[in-house]
Amino acid sequence: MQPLLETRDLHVTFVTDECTTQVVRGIDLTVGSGEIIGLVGESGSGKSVTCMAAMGLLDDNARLNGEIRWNGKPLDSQDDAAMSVVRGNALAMIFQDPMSALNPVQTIGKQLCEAIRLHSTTRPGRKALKQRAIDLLRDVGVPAPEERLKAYPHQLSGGLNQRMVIAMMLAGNPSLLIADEPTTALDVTVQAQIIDLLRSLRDERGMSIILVTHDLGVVAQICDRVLVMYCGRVVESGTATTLFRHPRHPYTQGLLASLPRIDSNDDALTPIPGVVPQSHELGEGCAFAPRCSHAASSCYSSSPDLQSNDGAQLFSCFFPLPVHENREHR
Amino acid sequence: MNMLYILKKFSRALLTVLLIVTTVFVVLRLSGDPAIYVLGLDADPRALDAFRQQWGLNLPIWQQYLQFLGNCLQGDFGYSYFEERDAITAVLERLPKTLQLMGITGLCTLLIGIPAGIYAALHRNSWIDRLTMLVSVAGFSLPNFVLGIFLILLFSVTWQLLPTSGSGSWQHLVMPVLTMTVAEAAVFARFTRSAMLEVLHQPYMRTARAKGLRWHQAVCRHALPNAAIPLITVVGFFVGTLVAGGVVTETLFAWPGLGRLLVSSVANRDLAVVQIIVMLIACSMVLTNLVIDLLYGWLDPRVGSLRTGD
Repeated sequence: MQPLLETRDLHVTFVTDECTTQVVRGIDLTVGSGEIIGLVGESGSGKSVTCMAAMGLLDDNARLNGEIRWNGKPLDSQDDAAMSVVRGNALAMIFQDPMSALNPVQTIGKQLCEAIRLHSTTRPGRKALKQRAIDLLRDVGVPAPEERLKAYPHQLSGGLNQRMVIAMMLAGNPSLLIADEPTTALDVTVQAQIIDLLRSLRDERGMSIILVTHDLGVVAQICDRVLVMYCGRVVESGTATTLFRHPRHPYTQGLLASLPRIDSNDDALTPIPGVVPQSHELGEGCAFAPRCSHAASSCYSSSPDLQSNDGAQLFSCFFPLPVHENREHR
Repeated sequence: MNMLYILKKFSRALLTVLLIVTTVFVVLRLSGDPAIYVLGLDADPRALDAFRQQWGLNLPIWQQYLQFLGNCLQGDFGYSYFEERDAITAVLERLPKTLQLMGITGLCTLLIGIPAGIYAALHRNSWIDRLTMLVSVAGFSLPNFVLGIFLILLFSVTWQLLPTSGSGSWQHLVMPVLTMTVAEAAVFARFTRSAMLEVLHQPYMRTARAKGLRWHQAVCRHALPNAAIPLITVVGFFVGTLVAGGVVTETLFAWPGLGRLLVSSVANRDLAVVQIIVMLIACSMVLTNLVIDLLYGWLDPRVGSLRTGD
């Protein structure tokens, strides 16, 4: 089956007067129809930049290499005119902080109707426009939608604002929604509601979702496949179940071990030692080697490619963790 | 609630005007004797006494002040010793000329400064941006009397294109307007640029584009209305600098407006005239601030809801 979104060897470099910083270093990403893909990793691993690249929303100082395909056709994500047709229509995006993601001086209704008008082929009348806006708000579970249309973003809660942004993005019936840490800024109870909403969008509309997060709990709840990113590369990918049961890359294992577990009496968490290296510190070797307890001298001289034993789970490590050891850990 | 708000604003405005007028009243009376200015240093002491008697200048200052306030309330704003007629007539006669100069300058400033700032922000770090900012620094570092004299030298003396002073035709307007516009437009370009840069990187701009707006559409519909909010504050200051710059510029180009009248009346201790002009300026500043307050509420719903206590 034709994948919806595909990136091949995607590189993103930011160029400033002082330096160039390579943030994404060869990402192969495939999103199929109706799939929920999780992108996980620490801050600075290039998750968001990968998504922004696909949306064509990177700043002017970003240089893109590699290929992005939409429905098999190449996408020139730095062409604003071409991308504005795709954005909101084919792929849409929601962001981390819903309070600042909405224009503070316009009502929700105005911003929502703007999105609807952008994506309708005919010019809808005022009544039709309002009705469609109300329908969209109802779809994303906003109570009393008629009144909300007149509200300004600062009058609503973070959770409601995130629903407003989602409604706005649904106006063009996109096939893929990129959610960049959509719950990070929200209360825990509201987080669960937003995650439920995302799941229902997939179940009811068959929408694909890329979920960027560092919350592994959320990933375990709704993602079909997971890509673990580190320093601009994918270090491990596979279905959520296998990845959590049998992580093969030491970084994935480290992420899992640093989660608090409710069924463990051990109060201490196991953090990954060290910090994410800056891009200029990266050498020839594996980016994770300095923080890895399994690293040997070969890890510092060359970087492992993504490899697989069974075709489903990919990992880039010279010394992958054996499957049985992980069983013990769990 | 709303009525109370307006009442509070209004009484505060009145207090401000009163404070300014009082200060000017006291300072003017302490800094020189009008009788000597009008009649001359070598005038007959009896004539001086008679003059003081006639205008109540021999009374203690608090009595003069109360009398002045009482007269103002009755619509009598005093008599110009120098022009020998009602001071208010002398002032109102000059008002249209000043309004003309200020209006045209204001319009030119906004029409040049704001678009230049927006353009510079949208093409940040391009050579046009750098040039705009360079010109802008030069523009507001140059004192307007220096620029004015330079313009006179160039356009009137060397090239003999424009009249050096006076009023009456559009040629007379060119240099005064240019002198004031350069500095003001420079400030506006700077403020607009930084307000735009601030807004262009807000997350809602990203949202606007994510839902399918083109870059220029997002700028027009989402960036500009937000950038207008901080700009409104600058417009408030702008009215003040227009008045101040007007005094210098009018004097320089012998423009027969209020600014020049103010300078000559202060020099001549023509007390009533000075007081009326100061009152006018104070009122216009207070009014401007009131309008700005209301504009804030209109442009920024966050301010409005705080006001009404929602």
